[in-house]
Amino acid sequence: MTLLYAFVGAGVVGCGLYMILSRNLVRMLLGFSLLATGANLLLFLAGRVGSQQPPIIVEGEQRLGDAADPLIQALILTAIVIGFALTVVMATLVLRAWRQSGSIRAEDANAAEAMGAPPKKPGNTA
Amino acid sequence: MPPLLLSLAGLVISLQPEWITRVALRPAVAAVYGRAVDVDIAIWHGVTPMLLLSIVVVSVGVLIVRFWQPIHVRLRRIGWIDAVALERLWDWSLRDTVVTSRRLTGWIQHGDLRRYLWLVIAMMVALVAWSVVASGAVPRLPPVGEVRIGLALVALVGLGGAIAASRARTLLSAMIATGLTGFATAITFMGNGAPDLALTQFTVEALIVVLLTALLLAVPLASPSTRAAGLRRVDALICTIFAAALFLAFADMTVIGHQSAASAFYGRMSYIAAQGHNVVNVILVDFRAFDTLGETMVIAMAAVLARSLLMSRGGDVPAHLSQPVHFSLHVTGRWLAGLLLLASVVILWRGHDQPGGGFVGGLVAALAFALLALAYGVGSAERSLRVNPLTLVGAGILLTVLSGMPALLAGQPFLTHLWWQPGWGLPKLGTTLVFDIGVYLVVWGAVLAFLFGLQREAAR
Repeated sequence: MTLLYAFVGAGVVGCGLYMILSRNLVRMLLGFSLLATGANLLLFLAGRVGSQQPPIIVEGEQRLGDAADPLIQALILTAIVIGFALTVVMATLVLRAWRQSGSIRAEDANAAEAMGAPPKKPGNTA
Repeated sequence: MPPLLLSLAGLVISLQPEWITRVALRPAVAAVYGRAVDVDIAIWHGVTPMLLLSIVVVSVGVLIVRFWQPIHVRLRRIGWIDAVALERLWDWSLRDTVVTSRRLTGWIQHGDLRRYLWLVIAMMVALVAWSVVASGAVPRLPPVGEVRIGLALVALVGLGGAIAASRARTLLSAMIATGLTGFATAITFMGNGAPDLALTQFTVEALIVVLLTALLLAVPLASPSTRAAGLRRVDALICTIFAAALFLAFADMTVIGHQSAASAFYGRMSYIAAQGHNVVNVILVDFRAFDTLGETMVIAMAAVLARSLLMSRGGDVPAHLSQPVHFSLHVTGRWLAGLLLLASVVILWRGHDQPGGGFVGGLVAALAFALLALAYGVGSAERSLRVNPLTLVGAGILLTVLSGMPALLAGQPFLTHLWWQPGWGLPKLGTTLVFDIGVYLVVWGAVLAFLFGLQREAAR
């Protein structure tokens, strides 16, 4: 199972990167979401896949018996929420860009470039 | 005058080197090296190559001074010296620096995001490949072991979703395929002993669909491809290589046995020290509460961003822009939302001992209002909430910070959680609950700030 999950996780990350390389802002955003999902899946492997018991201490017991790794789950839980927040923030930015320039192409988000190039004359900066 | 003084001092010291060696040189050298180093200074070292070189230099100097006039006359007759004079070279180098840097700037600062990212990914691949080759390591693969067919199929469906998303023609199908991967990941978590993660992932995927639909309603769904076929092939190649490197790295990592002292500690101490059965939640709200506090701050900042970027005021969405809602959703929406809200409180309450907690609870509560917004419109959902989403966020931050205060009064570090066991069959109460309610409110408010803002902005 570990091998399969490594394969799937790496594949999802690869697909996410492919979409991020697109010049369509919404596609990039979806690619980012995929990237986060794939990274979480791979991160899960760092805790090893083995026990199917959730890391919950059985009623009446004092300590955790055989169970999945709790630490990595706590890390991934925050990663899922942060990844979600990041995706939504990007969605907000894309929507604003669409309202501003009427385009969702990355080339058209060029307000910084439109401000002009640095001084052209040599020695002007001295 | 000062140079004269300096050279006089040098002369005096060199006549009696023993004194300066003892007073200054030996202590300085010892201070630099950290141990005593033998320093020996003398005027006469005998005939050495250095002395001979000095003699040569001095003689050449004397000759130049002696024949100053003839040398200059002769040199001036040679024309090509002017052509390679230092001033000329200096001018050239100055001009070429400007030209080269302008060309370089045009070449590397082209403003095309795709090429920047491509370069970053290519460099990562190259670095990984180089480090593997340099260390001469052969990646090991873990044994295949027992394969659970159902879960294996789910994982493959997830991969299929990702591939479909990257090949989708329209943005809507890309979003649905991305969601497929998300849900498959959630089921994977579920099947491998991580119900907390599964709950969170399920809720997040549902919310992403609602939130991104608002975005997709505004932008064109089908746009021409932004990359030529050749470029797409190049991108696919580099991403495949990257994925292959990632796969080998993680397969190799899992060969090493897993002996995490930290995980074992949390498993051992979770109930004894923090009164909680759900170790994941205990780590989040108690052992690593400071991290979680930081994370809620990040989410709160994102909510402020949503508030400032998106249209959050103004009346209801105009009637001609609101989509017709199916009758069944219109009838059941209110009840479903109520149930979801109730479920979110239950999830929050039992989180310390069972799967759940503030994060999932807040997401489910947001889902309830997403449903309301879908069924009755944003304005109606906002009115049902009664308060501004940012008020929820602020109250949440306040609670998380306050929950750490009682420990300070008891003379313990900030965010050390305290417990009260009332007995008489009443449940145990701890400051962790206050902390988790804070997290719940922050997540709830932040998602709603985005939800309402995006839906208003998109319908404008």
